[in-house]
Amino acid sequence: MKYKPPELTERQYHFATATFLVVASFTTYIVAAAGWYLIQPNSGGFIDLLVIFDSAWYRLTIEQGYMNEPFQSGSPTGQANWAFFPLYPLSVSIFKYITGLSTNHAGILISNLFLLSSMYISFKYYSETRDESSIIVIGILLAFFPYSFYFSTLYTESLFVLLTVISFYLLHHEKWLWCGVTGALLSATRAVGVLFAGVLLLRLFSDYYSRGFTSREMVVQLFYDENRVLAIGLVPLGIGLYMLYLYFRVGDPLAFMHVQVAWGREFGNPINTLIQGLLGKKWSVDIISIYLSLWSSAGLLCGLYLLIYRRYTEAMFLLGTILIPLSSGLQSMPRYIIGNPFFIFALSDIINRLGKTKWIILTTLASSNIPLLFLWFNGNGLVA
Amino acid sequence: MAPTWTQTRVIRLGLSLILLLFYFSLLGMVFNPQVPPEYDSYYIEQTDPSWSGMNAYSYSYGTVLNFTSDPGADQSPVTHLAGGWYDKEPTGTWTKGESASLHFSPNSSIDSGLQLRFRGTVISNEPTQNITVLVNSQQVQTLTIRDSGWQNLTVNIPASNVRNIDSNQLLNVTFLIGSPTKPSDISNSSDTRRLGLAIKWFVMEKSSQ
Repeated sequence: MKYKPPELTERQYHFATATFLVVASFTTYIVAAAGWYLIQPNSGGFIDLLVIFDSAWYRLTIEQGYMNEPFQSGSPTGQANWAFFPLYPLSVSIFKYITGLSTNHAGILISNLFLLSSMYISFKYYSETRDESSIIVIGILLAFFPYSFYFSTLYTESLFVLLTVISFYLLHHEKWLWCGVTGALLSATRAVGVLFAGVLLLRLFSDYYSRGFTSREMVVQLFYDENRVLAIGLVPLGIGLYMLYLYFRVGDPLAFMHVQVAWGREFGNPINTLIQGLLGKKWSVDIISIYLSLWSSAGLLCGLYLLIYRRYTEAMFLLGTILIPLSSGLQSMPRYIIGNPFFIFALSDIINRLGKTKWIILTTLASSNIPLLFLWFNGNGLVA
Repeated sequence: MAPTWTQTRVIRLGLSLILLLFYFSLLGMVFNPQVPPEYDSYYIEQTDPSWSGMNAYSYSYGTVLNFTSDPGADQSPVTHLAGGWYDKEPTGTWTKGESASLHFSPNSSIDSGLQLRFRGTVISNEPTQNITVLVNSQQVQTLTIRDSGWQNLTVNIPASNVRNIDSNQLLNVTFLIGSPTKPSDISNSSDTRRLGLAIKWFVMEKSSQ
């Protein structure tokens, strides 16, 4: 009798696909590391290769908590871990406590679990919000897109993507109070998470506008919409509690922002930063600034694409999470861009329109992750 | 039509109000951070180009500060440099461009005037270099100094300029350089830095004025 594979439900299919892709992406890192050892046999262990740059700050926060005062000497003089928001380190700490794993192992494992969950929720959200959608492109992009290794190391990106897609999924299902709760978690993960309050406001007032309310009626309606009002009020609670903590710890609730000066970040006009970067005037190494500016431009173009297709809330969140870090320089822009699921969704929308050529594009994109991964293993600042 | 005031609605709107009050109280903390002056200068006001360290501006009147890169006997290394200084050198520290500032967080309050004494030298493309001394943005004296090597210089600060400065406040001394000069413009030197005044040591003492 011929074997017939069991029919999978949509949920099972999504979960199986997500699991396969996360395992496959992590296997890629192991294989790439094996290749790297052929070039640099004296490199450290695999975990040491993967957990570098800002991972050290997260590890410090997980193991020792927040600093009372900045480093007084050495290369990070004036730098402190206040810039790193608490939810990710807190999650790893709890996971580490439960499992008994080391910080690095617990961090890598939980980041991959966040990635798996992000992918699963993304599949649900994407297939519910797009016609004729193909979730496999989303999965491949999240798993293999250039810089996707950030999702699998001791970085906050996979948690941020997870909370973003959960928040938007709940909003899509009009579960406002839960949106408030996940929004609060989002703003405790990264400062830009607080933009989700703007997303809720936009959704609320566009709803009122479409119902033809006058300004006065809108104000009155707020008293009927206590769920929505409370949800909007809850979103900044994450960052608010962190600010309160910093006030008692350091004396400055904006320490997370002020400490950026120790990394050479200065706040200014993001468009000006982008133009100067493209023209290669602001940074001494022109090619790097042009490269980072092109990434930023790609992110902004994807935001505009979402706007054109009237995905206003997604566009607002994507554009905001690009423009805010861009206002303080071009450093780490690829990380901030791929760390926003709507960049991936917009790309997926575009790629899904390309027919069979999409596989060539996906293969090219996935292949370009390997040299970036090698730069990462080498500790090259281009991928920091 | 007025909303129906169910218990759940009142609780949720009440929670929203509490959150709003919490955010307003946070705003109060944002505008009144409780930070030491070193933190304020580097992170918030950004008048200090590098992190000096906590308590770096702490100063006891009468302490002689060493501005050279070599440790000096009976002198404390200066950690009070805010903006406008080049790196310390074996002979002293040069001002950079038009102005250079020193920040002090005095350990005691003062009810008299102050006397600043320092050993300095100037460079200028003119016969003399004019150095204007400001204390907390108020001009107290202009020194006209000849380029004739190291010399002891004194600036008297009237009590009216410093009377209100207690141990919790920052005392900011600024030197405005009349003509910042590149050594390369007036000699065969290849040094293109814009120099004005160099200081070897500096002391601030209470005076009877």
